Amino acid sequence: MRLFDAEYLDAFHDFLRDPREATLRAAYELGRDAVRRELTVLDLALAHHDALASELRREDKPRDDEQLVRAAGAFFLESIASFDMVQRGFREASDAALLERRHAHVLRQLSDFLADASLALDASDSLAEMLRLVAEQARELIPADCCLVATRGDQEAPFRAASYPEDDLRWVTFARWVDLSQVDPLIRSSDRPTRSDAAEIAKHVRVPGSGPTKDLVLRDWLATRLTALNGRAIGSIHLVTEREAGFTGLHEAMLRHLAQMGAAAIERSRLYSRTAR
Amino acid sequence: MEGEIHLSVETDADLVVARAEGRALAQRLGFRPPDPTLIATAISELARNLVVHVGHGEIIMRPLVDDRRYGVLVIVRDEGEGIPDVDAALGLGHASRGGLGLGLPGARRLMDEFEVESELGKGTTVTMRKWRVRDELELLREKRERRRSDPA
Repeated sequence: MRLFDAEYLDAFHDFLRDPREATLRAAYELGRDAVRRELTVLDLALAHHDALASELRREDKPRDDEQLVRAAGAFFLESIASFDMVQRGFREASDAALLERRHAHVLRQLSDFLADASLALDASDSLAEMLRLVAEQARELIPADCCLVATRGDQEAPFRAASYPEDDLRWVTFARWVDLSQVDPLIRSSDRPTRSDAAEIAKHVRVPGSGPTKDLVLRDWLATRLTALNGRAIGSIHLVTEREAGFTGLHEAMLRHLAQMGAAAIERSRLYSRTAR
Repeated sequence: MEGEIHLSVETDADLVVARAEGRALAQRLGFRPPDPTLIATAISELARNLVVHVGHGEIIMRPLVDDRRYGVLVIVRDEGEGIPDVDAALGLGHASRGGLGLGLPGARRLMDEFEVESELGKGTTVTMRKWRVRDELELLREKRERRRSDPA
């Protein structure tokens, strides 16, 4: 018999003789010890099974089988609680690894995006193409129903591009008519992405004369400003969703990254246009 | 507050009392297995930290009630050295961050809500909660009892 099995047997018998918190605690300590010794949950189950079989073989006293099974279950539950803790940690680590892989994938996509944006510089309407690319990439990277990218400048006319489900008249109308004039000051006041819930969206967002958009349920709005290298705000990028799940901290980080790359690409595009004139 | 439990933790025997009180509170609030065991285990992990690493501390437990849930609140407080990097101590942030997953990170994973406030040289307060949803039948029974006790 292994040392662990012998310790388990002693603690199990102590608990059955005197079932209280102090003797039950031994099960918790044994479970913890099993984790430290890198035993498996199967090792623990075998130790428990042997201890229970040993108790059943005893004939020196009358036995209440139901009570014995219940007490044995309580002891076993206590001993595997530490394994549960470890298993939860393993699940968390697996999720974190998945997230890290997703980050790497997103970075690759962003890099492709930058290459596409650079190619767009050669197009005659480069800024329009650029903004459309930004909006499409944002929607591909972050699960949103609609993405709006708006620029404003001292020398250039303001411009807006959008990406949305083109077969959904509600979003087509929304993207065409939504008024961002009350949202923009909020976004410009912070250098971090801003999130708004349904109540705040209702307060700040207007969609004038737009029957089809009445059915839209704007649950979450994530936006940030596009900032030039000299710190000047040159526009904003907005993501809107109807989904219950809404946006997350990861989406905020991705939008921030995307906005930085988008702003740099817009600046290059403007510089190119001025030089080519 | 009604039903609040204050415990001073200094020895192994205090750890046993804390486990027993946490388990009993969970059972009183209708938590079903394995939740009382998980709550007792989370308390054990933090109480063990107090006994082994700090020397002494305090545990407060309190029942929580809201419209649809019952909860167990556990506050574990010490005046030790504090934790220099709370995220690291909680095992947060990286897939590869090591350890067996016992202790503070283990307790965090067993509970529904978990907050740590720590100040170097002043101490640490861990606040954790576990909830259980009250089922429809339970809500109906409570409504009926309220109506009986207050017919107006």
